[in-house]
Amino acid sequence: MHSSTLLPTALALCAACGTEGALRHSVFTPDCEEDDVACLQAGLDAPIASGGVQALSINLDIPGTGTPSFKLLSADPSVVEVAGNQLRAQTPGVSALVLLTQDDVAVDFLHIWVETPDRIALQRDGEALSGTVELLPGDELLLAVAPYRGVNRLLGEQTAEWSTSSDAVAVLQDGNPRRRRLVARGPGSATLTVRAFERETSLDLVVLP
Amino acid sequence: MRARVAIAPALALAAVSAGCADTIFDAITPPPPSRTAELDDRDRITLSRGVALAFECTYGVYQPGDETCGAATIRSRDPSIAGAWLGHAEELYDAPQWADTPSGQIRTRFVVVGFAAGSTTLDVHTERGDRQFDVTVIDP
Repeated sequence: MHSSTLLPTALALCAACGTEGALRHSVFTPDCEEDDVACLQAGLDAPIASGGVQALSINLDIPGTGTPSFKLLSADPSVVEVAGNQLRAQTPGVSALVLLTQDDVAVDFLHIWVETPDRIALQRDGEALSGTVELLPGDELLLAVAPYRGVNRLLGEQTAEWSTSSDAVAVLQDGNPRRRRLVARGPGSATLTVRAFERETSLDLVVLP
Repeated sequence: MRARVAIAPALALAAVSAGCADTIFDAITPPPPSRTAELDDRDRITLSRGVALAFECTYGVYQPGDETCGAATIRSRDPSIAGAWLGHAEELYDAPQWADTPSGQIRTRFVVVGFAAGSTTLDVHTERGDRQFDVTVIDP
């Protein structure tokens, strides 16, 4: 329900979410999940978390021509590797991504930053959760994990490890490695623990009778 | 108009004989924060590893930047240290009326990237002549 109400707003705000290349011939846009409002709004104006993967869309903006076939080159693969339309963040630093035509004309470039996350947070519809969450039997909660460094939300996804301390809540695969669907099974309490980006966070869950 | 036609060749001759006509290479993109991407007036390029720089060639008989340098090529003598490519520039050059270059010519741009710490040379050929650039790539 939250997703359906937030999505139009996020898409409306997303009008400027792409990041223009240095030569202003292209716009680089992260492929964000529909419920990841922070990602939708920020575009590529955030570092990618080391160890994370960020899918990318590139739109060329050259008057009078369609988009030619192009290739993307990382200036420093030790910082960020390019694999298809994905950026794989390796170690902290900065690397230019150069957009080349097949006959090696540089159409544009963009500098990408990689940072090591110092914490992860659990989010629902892009909002961080903390403290205790109360549920009733049968309630569902769709949670995602997001990397941060200080106050900065970082880009990038990584498969997370999810576990609970009791059977009061079931943790189900959602088809997306950064998300899980939690289902309250019966009265009781549980601590949800999530590990990703070599960081850990937890959330207390109480299922009321 | 007639006065301009008559005066222009004289001005050009005076400028060339005075040594004023020259190709000018200017950086057109800034470095990212805390990194280096510089092109100085001694044809030296300094780049942090992983950083890209775009620069442009213009030619000025009467004043710098009057004209584009036309068709060009660029080659890095050591592509493992610095990569170099022609840069696409769709903007049509708005040449002044007295310039040799007709309006509508594509700007002459290049992109260079620092791949690994070290030094190498870029060989640039344009319709206005050849130039060499010493490139130094430094670790950040």
